[in-house]
Formats: sequence, C-alpha cells, structure tokens
Amino acid sequence: MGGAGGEGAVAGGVSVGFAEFVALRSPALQRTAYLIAGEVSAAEDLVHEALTRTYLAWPRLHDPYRAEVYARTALTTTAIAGSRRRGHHPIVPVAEPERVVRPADVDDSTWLWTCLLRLPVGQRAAIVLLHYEDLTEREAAETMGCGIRALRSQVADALTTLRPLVGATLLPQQVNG
Amino acid sequence: MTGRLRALLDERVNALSFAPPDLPRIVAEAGLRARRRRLRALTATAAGLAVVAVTVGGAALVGRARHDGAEVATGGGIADPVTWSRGSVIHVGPDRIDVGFTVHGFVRTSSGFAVMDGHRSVWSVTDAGQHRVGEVGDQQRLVADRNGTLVAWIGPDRELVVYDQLTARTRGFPDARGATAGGGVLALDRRTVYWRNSGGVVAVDVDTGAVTAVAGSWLQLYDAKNSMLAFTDGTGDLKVGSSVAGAATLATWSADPHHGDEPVVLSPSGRWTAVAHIHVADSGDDHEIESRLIVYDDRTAETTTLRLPGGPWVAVPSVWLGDATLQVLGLFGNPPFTGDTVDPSLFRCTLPKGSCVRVVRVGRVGASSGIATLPDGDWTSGD
Repeated sequence: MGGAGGEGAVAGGVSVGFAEFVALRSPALQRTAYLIAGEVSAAEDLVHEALTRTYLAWPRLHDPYRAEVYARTALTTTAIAGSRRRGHHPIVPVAEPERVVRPADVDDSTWLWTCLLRLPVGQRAAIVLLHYEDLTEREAAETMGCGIRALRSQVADALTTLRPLVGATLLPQQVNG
Repeated sequence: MTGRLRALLDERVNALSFAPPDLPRIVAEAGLRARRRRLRALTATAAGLAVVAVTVGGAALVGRARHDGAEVATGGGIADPVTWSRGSVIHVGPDRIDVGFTVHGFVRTSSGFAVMDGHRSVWSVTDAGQHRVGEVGDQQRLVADRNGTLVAWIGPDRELVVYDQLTARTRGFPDARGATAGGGVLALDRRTVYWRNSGGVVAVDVDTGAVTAVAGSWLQLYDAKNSMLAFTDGTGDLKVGSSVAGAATLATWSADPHHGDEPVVLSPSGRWTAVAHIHVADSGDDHEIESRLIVYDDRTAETTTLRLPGGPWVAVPSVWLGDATLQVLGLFGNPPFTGDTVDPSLFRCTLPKGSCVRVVRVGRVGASSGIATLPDGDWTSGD
C-alpha cells in the first residue's frame, strides 16, 4: 500500500509509511485528543478511531501533512459527534460563573483546565484548535466540520464562560485570521 | 495571551502518559471496514431491486391485503421458503405480508418478523398483530434467532434492547461502563445476545441478565448459533467453536490481505458456516473480483463450494432457511456493475450436496418501485 509515506512497502500487513506516521504523530494527536475530550481513556479511543480512518484513507493521502490534517479532523469530528449524541453535556457541570471560587492552593494550569472542562466539547475544541494548535480560523473550522461563523460563535461562547473564571490575562483577546 | 494559555495546557498534557496506539488492531479494524464497504458496494445493487418477474415453484405471486393482525403467512406450506422484502411487502415464498410502510430492514423469528421503518422504528409483526416496539440507534441493525422469539438491537442511547415476541416485553441493558462508540449488537443465539460494548464483546443472558465477557473488543464475532461462535480473532483467521479459546481454524485469511470474506453465517445447528469469499483487487473502481461461496463443515473443516446456476459474478450467503438450506443472493451481469446492469436472483442451496436452484429472479425497473431488503437485519437506505 503506497500513500502518504510515499512508499509501498508492507510489513506485517501494515504500510511502513503509516507505521512511521503513527509513531511520529500519535503523541501530538493524543495531546490534542486529551484537550478536546478531557479524559485520557476517551483521548485514546479518539486517536484509535482517527488512525483507523486515516489508515483507510492512506492510499489517497499523498503526504504526511495531509495525513495529519485528516487524522486531526477525524479526531475532532468524532469527539463532537459523540458529544452531540450525549447531549452536549460538559464534563464538569456548569454553574453560575460568579458562584465558582478558585481554591487558593490551585495553580494556574490546574485551574485553567478545570474551567475548560466546564465547556461543551465543541467550544473546547474551538479553543484548543485556535490557541493550542495555532490553526487559522479557516483551518480550525474545516477541522471541526463547520463554517467560520459557527466557529466564531463557539469561541465567543467559550470566552464568555471562561472570562469570569480565569480572568482576561490568560485568555486570548482575538482569534487568528 | 495565547502563549500563556498554550504553556499552561502543555504543562497539563506533559504530565500525562498515553497508551501507544494499537497498530495491529487499527489495521484489522480498517481492513474489516474496507471489506464491509466493498461488500456494501457490491450488494447495494440489491438495495435498488425491483421485482420484474417472480416465479416461485411456477406459481405467480398473489398479493394479499395489508397486514392487520391476521395470521402471519410463513411460506404457503413450502418448506424453507426464500424471504425478502420490497417496498412495504415482505415476501415469504408465495406469501406476501404488507406492513404498510417501506421496509428498511427485517429479521425473521419463529413467531413472525421484526421490521425497521424509515424513521428507525422497530415493529413486531406476528399473529398478535403489528406493533411498534422500539427504536434503533446509530447501528440500525436487528438480530434474531430464526428458531426463537427474541429480537435485539442497540437503542438511541446505545443500550442493548431485547424484545420478546412471545411475551410482548421489552428489556433494556445499559452499558455498565458507559456507552462507547464502535459498539453494537453482534448476534443472537436462542436466549443469549452477543454485544460489543465498552467492556469488549460480552454475552448477555436475556432471562437472568447475567453478562459474561467473551473477549476484548478486537474480536470480530460474525455469528452465534447453537452455542457455536464464528469469528476472527487477532490472527485474522476464521475460527468456529463453542468458545474463543477452544475454537478451530476454518480458513487462514491472514495469508491474503486483499480478500473480503463476509458475510459469515452459521447454520441454526452450528453445523455449517457459509462464507462469501470475495477477492477484490486493489485497483480502484475496476472491480476486479473473484467470488466463491464456500460452506464449511464445522466438524471437519471440509469445504463445499456452492455452484449457482448461471454462474453469478458474486454470490453472497443471506440467511439459513433451515438447518441445511441456505438462501443466497447472486448478482449477474457484466462490468461495469451498476444498479442498471446487475441482474440479481435469490437461490436456495442445500447441504451437504451443495446444490442450488434459482428461486426468484429479480431485476431493476426503477427507483419508484421501492427498495428491497433481505432478512439479515441490516439497514438498507433508499426511497
């Protein structure tokens, strides 16, 4: 099987190029999956599903970059679709932001993460893709399988939720073009 | 401050450790999905079938009134009648049952049928009448045992749902560890339902509710009948036995990565396993296909290659009509194979001789004539 790896060698039924792709890129995919899904086991399931779909598409993905874009899109859309089926419930129940008090002994990273878990998956994915993966709005929207207007709406809603919790200094002021 | 946000999130994820992706499992699952796609592409032609001329034992089909709770016809006295549906009508040999809506999938039970409509509703059709008994979720599949009264499916909340046509009772079995993607109902053997859920492949005793682990989610369980399981495990080979650990290898599929061997259908007694061996060359849309329909004797692993009159280019086992009688879908035609050029027929094949007779010849006459389905419980879209 040829494809993104640019070679047709097969070892044990697996394209060498695909095996290399998995070895090199799965750590990054797992990090993204965790930030979107919020749990390690869910992230591992998402990456498994994304890589399975990528393997199916491997013969027509002609370069590793396209393969990574494909895998990240599969991962994100699978997470969002799963959340739709569950009714968009955030991992941490949403409370009135003004009633949420940051414990004194919690560091910035833990607190930011706790607050991000209050977001629905779609909003969290928008924040992660734009401000962790550093994608452009267009790239992020394509990765999420939505339009730019819907993406901006997700980001605006996310920032509205997050701003009273974490303050403006940690949050992005504007999204990437 | 995107940089600060990224640094904090990096701090979070860098403290974690993830299990490395299971590459063999990924490849196995991808291969399975690819084979299913190929087979769906091949058998999709059957979904657009329209009956042009149907002869069953020389008798013309006679239409009957819409099913209204009267006796469910089961084949006009013909032993092991072939069964299919078209539009709103289920054909059982010379009998017709009009359920009043387009049938998108159905299974046969000892009491009648369970049917899916276009709104994902599940209907029970028996002598007791026609009743809506539930709704399928994303899997859109029914399983049943031809010799029992149970029907099972996965509901919208990914719970296992079992309906008993004998008692008219529905029972739900939630996924104990939380519903997960990729789950689904796999097979039904008498009072046991095999289900892939977040815990792997499990067997659910419908009467006691006891759940028994069968194997991890890597197990591809094709069918279960009379306490026999037909599956592929991590080796990729086809195995049949009363347990995963003690099963015997019927076919060494792992040696040929380009084949597609589905469906795999166990006979009611577990004596026979019917397999469509379809070798598809990876040549894009050229459909370079070599197809053989093989039945294995599960006791000896001896094979019988079924010879269908006329030599269809693809033959697919549909359902076992009796203990040694198999319903087969044969597709005739010449490349390119499209819904307009394929000429499908249903055959009845008998073991151990392996002889087959064409029972119903069908052909496409237009989309307005309605979709056709076979009693395998799989969803067929259209119309």
